[in-house]
Amino acid sequence: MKINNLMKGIVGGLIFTLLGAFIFQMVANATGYVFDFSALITGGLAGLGFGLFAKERDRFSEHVMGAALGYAAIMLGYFLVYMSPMSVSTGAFIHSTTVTVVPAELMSFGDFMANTFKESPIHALFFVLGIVAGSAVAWYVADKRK
Amino acid sequence: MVDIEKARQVATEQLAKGVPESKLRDAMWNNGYTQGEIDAVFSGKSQAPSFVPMAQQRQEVSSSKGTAVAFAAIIVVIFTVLPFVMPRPGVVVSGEKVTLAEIMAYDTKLQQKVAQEGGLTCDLRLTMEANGETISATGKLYLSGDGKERMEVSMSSSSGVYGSETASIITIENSSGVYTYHEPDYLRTSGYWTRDEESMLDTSESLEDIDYYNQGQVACGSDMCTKFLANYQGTTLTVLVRDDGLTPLSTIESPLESMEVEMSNPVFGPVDEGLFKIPEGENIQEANPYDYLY
Repeated sequence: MKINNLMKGIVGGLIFTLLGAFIFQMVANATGYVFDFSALITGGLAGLGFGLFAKERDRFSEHVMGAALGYAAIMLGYFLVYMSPMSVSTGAFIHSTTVTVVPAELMSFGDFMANTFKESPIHALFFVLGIVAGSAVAWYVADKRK
Repeated sequence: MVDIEKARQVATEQLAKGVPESKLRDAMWNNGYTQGEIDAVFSGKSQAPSFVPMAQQRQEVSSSKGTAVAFAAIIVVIFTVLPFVMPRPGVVVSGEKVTLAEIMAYDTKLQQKVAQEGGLTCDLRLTMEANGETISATGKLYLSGDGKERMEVSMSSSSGVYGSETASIITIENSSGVYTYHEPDYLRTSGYWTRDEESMLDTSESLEDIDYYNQGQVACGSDMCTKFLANYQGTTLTVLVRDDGLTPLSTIESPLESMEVEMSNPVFGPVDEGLFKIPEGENIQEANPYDYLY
């Protein structure tokens, strides 16, 4: 893959990475819950950005860059959630109340991710699936544009 | 030198069979054809551009894959390291109202400090209003490693009812088992805390009730924040006055109307005033303690 085309793909991929991460955060903030399948969509969006802007036939590069951008988008999505206020329902039944918390004020990012995966291991699964989606979408879109 | 004409002939046959051009291009690429050769086959040119030697072209293909891997590695490293090195929001900002999240973070840090050092002594300054009296208090909050806490304060009030300027040490028993969570009735949406007089002095009680309330507080991870709320947002301020630290001389009970707390300790330094301020005229017996947090 030519450097010029690769760079176009990276720039496009990073733009879609930001877009995907913001969507990830917006969904979490609006619902108060981090949906596991958000990672799948976010990773796929990043791969889409690379596939749309990269112009090459190098399948290997498309897969690698799509996976890397998918990973970046999901990490950024989790980080934005980590840094932003979220309304969280606490308590049980009629005792419940809603509090607004900023995870970054309570714990380190490592603890946040560890707690997320510990509370719901399916998040880890969808994290990986999101990376795979980024890789697959990047290749598929680039291939369709050839 | 690759025979472009022969390759074109084969490609033409495949195209006639309905094989997409992109598939043919991929197949040629995977069989070692350079980009120039592939373009020449499908563009009708007789030969690939000769200004770039084939060996160099193949080398470029190989190096471009390496470049892609390098860029991918850089992206992964950046987005892995960045979240860990970005500064976190300030926990306690002097001069500003604190939020529940800040209290939780504060409590977490406090608990860590208590666990590390086996205990902690905090300086306190309280300003309370009860029955129209303004009560000022200064003292220390002792937190022990086993989760118990004790607050010793010197108090004075505007009329002297609750003590004098020269009051002896007044201890507010303030530990496990002091508070009982009351189930709300069907008309209320939240419960409230009151003191359990019988267990007032029993500091060995577990925090079952408070723990129960805390079970849903996923973000808290500590019962200390609820203890904070429960301790100071209770329905009645009950102060045991005693001279030797053991035998209560008298008990003062009064509806607590407002309370401001300023605390400093070795962990964070000063904490803002107005931490728990109850609005004037509010019936705090039926209130949700969270409502009073800024």
